[in-house]
Amino acid sequence: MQITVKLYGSLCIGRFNSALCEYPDHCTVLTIVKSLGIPSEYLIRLRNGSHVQFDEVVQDGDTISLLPMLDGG
Amino acid sequence: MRILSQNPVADTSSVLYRRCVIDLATGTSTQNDVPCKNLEDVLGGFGRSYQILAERRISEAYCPENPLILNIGILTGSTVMTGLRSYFSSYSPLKHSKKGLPSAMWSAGSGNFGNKLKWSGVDEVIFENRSEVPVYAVFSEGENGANVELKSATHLLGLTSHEKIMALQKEYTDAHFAVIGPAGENFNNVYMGAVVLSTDNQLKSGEGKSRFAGRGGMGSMMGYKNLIAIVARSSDKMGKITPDMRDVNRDVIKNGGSARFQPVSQGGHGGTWANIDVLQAFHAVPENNFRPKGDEDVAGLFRGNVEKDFDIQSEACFRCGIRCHNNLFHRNADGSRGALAAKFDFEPLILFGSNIGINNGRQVTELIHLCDSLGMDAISLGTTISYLLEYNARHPEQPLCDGVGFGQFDKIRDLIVQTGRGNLCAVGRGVMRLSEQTGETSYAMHVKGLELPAYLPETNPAYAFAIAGGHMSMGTHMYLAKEGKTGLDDWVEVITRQGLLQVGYDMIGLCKFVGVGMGHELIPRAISEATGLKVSSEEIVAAVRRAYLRGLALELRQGYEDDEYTLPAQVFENPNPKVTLPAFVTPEFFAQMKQKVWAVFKPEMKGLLP
Repeated sequence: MQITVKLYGSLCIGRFNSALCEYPDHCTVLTIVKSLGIPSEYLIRLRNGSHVQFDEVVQDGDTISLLPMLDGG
Repeated sequence: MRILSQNPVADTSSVLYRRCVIDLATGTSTQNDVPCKNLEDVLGGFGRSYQILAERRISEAYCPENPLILNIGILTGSTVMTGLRSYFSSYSPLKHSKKGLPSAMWSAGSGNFGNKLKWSGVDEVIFENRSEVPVYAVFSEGENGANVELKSATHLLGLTSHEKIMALQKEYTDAHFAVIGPAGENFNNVYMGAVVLSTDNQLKSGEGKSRFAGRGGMGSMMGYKNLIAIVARSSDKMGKITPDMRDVNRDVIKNGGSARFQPVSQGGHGGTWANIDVLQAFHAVPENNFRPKGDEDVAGLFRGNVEKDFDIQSEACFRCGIRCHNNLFHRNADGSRGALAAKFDFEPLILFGSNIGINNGRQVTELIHLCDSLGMDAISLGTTISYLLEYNARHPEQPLCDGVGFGQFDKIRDLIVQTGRGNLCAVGRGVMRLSEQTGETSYAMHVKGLELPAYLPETNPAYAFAIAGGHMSMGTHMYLAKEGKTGLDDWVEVITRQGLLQVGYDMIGLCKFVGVGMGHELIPRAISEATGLKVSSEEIVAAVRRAYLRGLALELRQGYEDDEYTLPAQVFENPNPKVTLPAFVTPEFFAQMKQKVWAVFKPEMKGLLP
């Protein structure tokens, strides 16, 4: 299935900003994160704009956005 | 600090800190070792200073009876990485209840000043009364505590904060400095004066790389007391780093919390600057007075775009491996690195950038530099200016301050200069007072009289329970963006269990960018290794909680009514549809949230004040 993956901030470095990626059916958000070599802690995950857990199964045509989890100061 | 027992919980009086009281009216000082009354005293910072403030009934900030308290945390001056913090506490000239009573405040800063103060022989200084003439205080290491002198500061008047520091360094080569800028000198018209702290990098390079204790007008309090600068002299007394301490510091660097703030080249995300990328994904970057437009204008302030014009160097506070500073340097014509332009952090970047309609990195650096040089709090100044610009946009027929508008760089620059030099009290006294003068309070972005940082109030209802700055004393400002949670119980839980514990860093002397919660095992391990004191995580959390609740109780004693625990009215009256994060902060939600939070807090607040 095809998933649009969007990356933000430093996560784009050496990767991409947005890409249409091929993944096996019934894969999870964590599968996508791991496939990109992104550490899974301190990561904001959105599925079609809404926050999701790592174990959420994605659907063909979804957009998964991954953002670094920062803080203020 | 003298430690006579390793168990400070069983016998808090076995830990004694060195207090110096200076009567600025007479020029006399006394010192004594004060036994700690409780674990908050032991940990230090605002946990201790607020107990002193609570003993006094102060009805106006600028009065001789209002003390200015300078102290440190238990880990300041230790070998624990980031253990640099010094704290300034007083009843604030800026933050006040609608009854007109000043609120207690503290503000924290890094740099090497706190270390030097500790090594000179004192843990706490209480400045009483005010001097008739401008003075600076010098603390030098002596045989029995610090030697203290007050000297004429006439030659420092009118200098920028950086100029003051460099002038003092010529005379005191073994010292670090806390100074005020012209804003603090003009305390009657500027209530948002910052305390400006020197850094090693600044003293070595001669560049204006200060750190700031900005919130609540502690620099204005120094100005009121005619205390223009504080000099802390000592040899370097950094202890030997033991193998166990090396492990503590390794964990400071390696834990995922601090890694977020580290340079991109180090595998981090590049400091708080990177927040702009994250929040823009939700169209939640403040623009034009906290009113995101839903467009991509702020992209001009993204790191990738600013890098085209500047050399960016990741630098650090003294001996800190987190290296969160993003210092921007001009480029010379030959491509080499030129002079320092400014340090980019999220708050000043946004509040002197997109939130006042400026998305040009060069212009933002100039405004940040001006604010820093004049010695003002970037958050209070930026947020007050954005209100003024919105007022003018709403009233083109009768604008204020020469009709300055969003994006008008030259006029805004002049506004900052006039404010910092004490010529524009409408801005210098903060947004709450300005909005009460204009009669339009709904879009004045403050809570309880203190200007909001660069996180939208509609994304953080917990601002109402911050006691000393919206994001410095309630760690919930990114909760919605991070977790996406909008449930009532989620918010009550995060306020009453996690968010309030953020203030613990303003007790122990470490920087918040260590990035772990107060309940993390790293904190007691660091205290044990640095001091020998055995304190459990649970005991630390309980002490931090008491200190926070004491601050909340002190707010109520200073006249805050329930209706002041609120957000700017615009949040409820005119929600912004451009923000793509869930809109959940309705009046009903907010009222229920408050009720539940008070139900948790109020029983615990009993007995915390004298």
